[in-house]
Amino acid sequence: MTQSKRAADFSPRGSQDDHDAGARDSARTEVRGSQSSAPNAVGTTPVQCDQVIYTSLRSGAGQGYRIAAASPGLTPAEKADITRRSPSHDGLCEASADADGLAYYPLSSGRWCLAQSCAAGIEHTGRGGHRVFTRAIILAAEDRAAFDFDPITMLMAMNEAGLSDVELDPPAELPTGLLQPGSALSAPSEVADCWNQSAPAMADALDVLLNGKQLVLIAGDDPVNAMWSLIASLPISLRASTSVSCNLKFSMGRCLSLNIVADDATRLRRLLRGQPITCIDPNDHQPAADHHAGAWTEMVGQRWAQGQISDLIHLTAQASAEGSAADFDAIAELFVELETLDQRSAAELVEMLRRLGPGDGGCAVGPKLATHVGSRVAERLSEQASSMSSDEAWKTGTELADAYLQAWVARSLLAAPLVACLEKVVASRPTDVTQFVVGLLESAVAVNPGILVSLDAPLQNLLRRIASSFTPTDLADARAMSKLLRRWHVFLPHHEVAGHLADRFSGRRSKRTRI
Amino acid sequence: MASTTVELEEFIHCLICDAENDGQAVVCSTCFAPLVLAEQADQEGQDPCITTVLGDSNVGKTVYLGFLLDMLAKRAGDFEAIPKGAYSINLQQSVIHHLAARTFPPKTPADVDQWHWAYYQVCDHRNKDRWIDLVMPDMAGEALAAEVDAPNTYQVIGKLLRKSAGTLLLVDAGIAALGSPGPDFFALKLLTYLDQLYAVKRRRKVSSPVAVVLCKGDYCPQCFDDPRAFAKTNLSRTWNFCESRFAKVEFFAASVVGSLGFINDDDDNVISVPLHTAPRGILEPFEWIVKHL
Repeated sequence: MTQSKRAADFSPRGSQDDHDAGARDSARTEVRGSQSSAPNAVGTTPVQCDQVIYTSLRSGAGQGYRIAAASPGLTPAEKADITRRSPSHDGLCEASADADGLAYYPLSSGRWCLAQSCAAGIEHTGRGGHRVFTRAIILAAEDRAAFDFDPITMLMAMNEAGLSDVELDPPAELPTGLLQPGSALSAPSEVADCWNQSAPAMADALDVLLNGKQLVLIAGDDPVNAMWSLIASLPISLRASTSVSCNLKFSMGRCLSLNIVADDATRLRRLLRGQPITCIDPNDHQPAADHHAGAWTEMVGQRWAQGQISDLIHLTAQASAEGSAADFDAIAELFVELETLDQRSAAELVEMLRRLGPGDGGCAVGPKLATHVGSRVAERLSEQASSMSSDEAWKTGTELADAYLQAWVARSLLAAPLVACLEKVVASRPTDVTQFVVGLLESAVAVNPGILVSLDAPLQNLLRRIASSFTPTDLADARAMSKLLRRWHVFLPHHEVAGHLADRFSGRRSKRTRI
Repeated sequence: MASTTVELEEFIHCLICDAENDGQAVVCSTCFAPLVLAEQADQEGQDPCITTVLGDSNVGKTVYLGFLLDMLAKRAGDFEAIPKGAYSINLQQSVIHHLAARTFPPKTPADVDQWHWAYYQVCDHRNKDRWIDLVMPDMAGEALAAEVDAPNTYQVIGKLLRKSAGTLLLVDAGIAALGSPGPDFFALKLLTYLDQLYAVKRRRKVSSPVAVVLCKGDYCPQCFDDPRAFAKTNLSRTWNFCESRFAKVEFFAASVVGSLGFINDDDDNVISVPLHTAPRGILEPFEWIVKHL
């Protein structure tokens, strides 16, 4: 029997924001671009998944809760994991006929399970309560990148693929399912409202997750949006490893990273006593007096308060490197600094670049974010270079050279501001600039012989421009410059240089001027 | 004014899995068994005898155990039983309350931290007033089935059975009498699981006592006449395995319900309604187990 009812309905509690949807799509595209190794990281290639049904049925194999049907790809160990984590009798927070719940967790095999549970009629043994029906999909860890590692996006794809129907007489073997990555929706404004109504508690909850601890959040009124807001607030790298349950009665055996429940708070507090699990009840929450939210949490809180959901989703998608809470705080500080780039001095911008590198005390923010921030900073530095004095440009140029040599961010990003700075100086100190550039290129090659000329094209072009406009003071100057330039296969225009020298030293022209 | 300071232990070891837990914890963070059992065992100064009740989902474990504890609390037979802690009474209270209301008690959830556990001190007056500390959990049939199919799915079950001094194995005699092999196969699975847990050599038999209880005897009263003959006929695989591998095994018939009515629920399921209770054969398996502890 296939009932029209779906296993659960976690559709957004509110209207769809088209603008946000577009922003989310663009954010997703960026993330997929950064996960080039993921099989489903690009395009709309459907994601394959196995299926499982876990419920209470009378069958030849016995009665009671058990895996009633599964795809052939499931291993016995995976089945055992799903059995242990799936809700059985009285496992849903609500006792009503339309109660539902969700669980999203890793299996011992490395794959991930997304399970929807719902009440499906009366418990057939007549022992009271509703039968709990759970339908789950199992997908490879890397395939989740196609959904931004967001269980709600996966859930919607699962619903769209028709993998959520309640089947109380399922075939023993379920087929492999196909999920469309493009079916995601964005967080509606009600999710922001949910955060803002209990902002201090939600901020503390986010801090707990950022610190890698397990959390039980008692969100009786609006559990789905509470879950949604916390998931949307996590850096995408942390989201990838965060397991979630929502609306399932709390059980120690099913304790995941984030547990959203509507349980009796007294029972929960008693059960969690002495356990390394934090319990937060927004209705009875008193932030610790000495507690200060980290930079990431503050940044997220501001975005929710100002309703900048698309911006938040964009930012969280940028944080793709794994890290600690301190690393995420450093990333948030970078994001905040990015917003005030216009007010930053050249020295501060160079310092920002330095922090992107993996050097001493530096913050390893990951290549994707480093490129994103680095390109913005480099762009701003290039703009600033035009208004710098010669001395300031020289100083900034030499500092950027360090960044270039040590590759704090991609050299191709640094070349533009470096060249912009040096061009401010080249008119007054052409030989110094040439010596500097040639030395820099040679050092770069010494550090990394694999550097290709194409990467250094802006610097090569600078040398060519210097060569074409070079006016020597005497023959020795011309010879020194020529010798320098030849090391990078740039040649002085001999006739022009000879002309310059002839003009300067008229009457003393030799028969043959060899430069 | 006099003041009392209660110093909590910094750590507490779980009675079931021996894992070290925070002194304030209520359940073991490893196997999720209640830590109050360990506290009470500490107070008594000796490890209790753990007796486990096994059986398939819906076989009647909760009802059997609830009635057994209630009969012990009422000094049935020559036993005197003292529950240790109010939590020990929850199960019998729930069972008696529901049956008095002509309903069966709710299904036991598969989540370990929601199981009922009972800690009783039982005195056998027929055996020189011997006192035994007994711990009896009401396990979910689903959890047992999952553990038997894939060992270590529920760690607590394996650890509990390793520490068990005796086992009551409940089999649905009503279904078995209809010729269904299901109860026989499930009992066989549980027994092979026990056999593997104790892992004795092939020529030696498992010495832990196992009482096979033919439940729901009201469906097939003939099982009371000769439980062994009933088992030999209707549970032949189980019978043979018991003979081969278990040194102390006995068969009993039991029933709790005196008469049943049947109704259809809103989903057209046929639901049995216990019209009145007439416990029969509840205490005998327990007596036999205690005798062999």
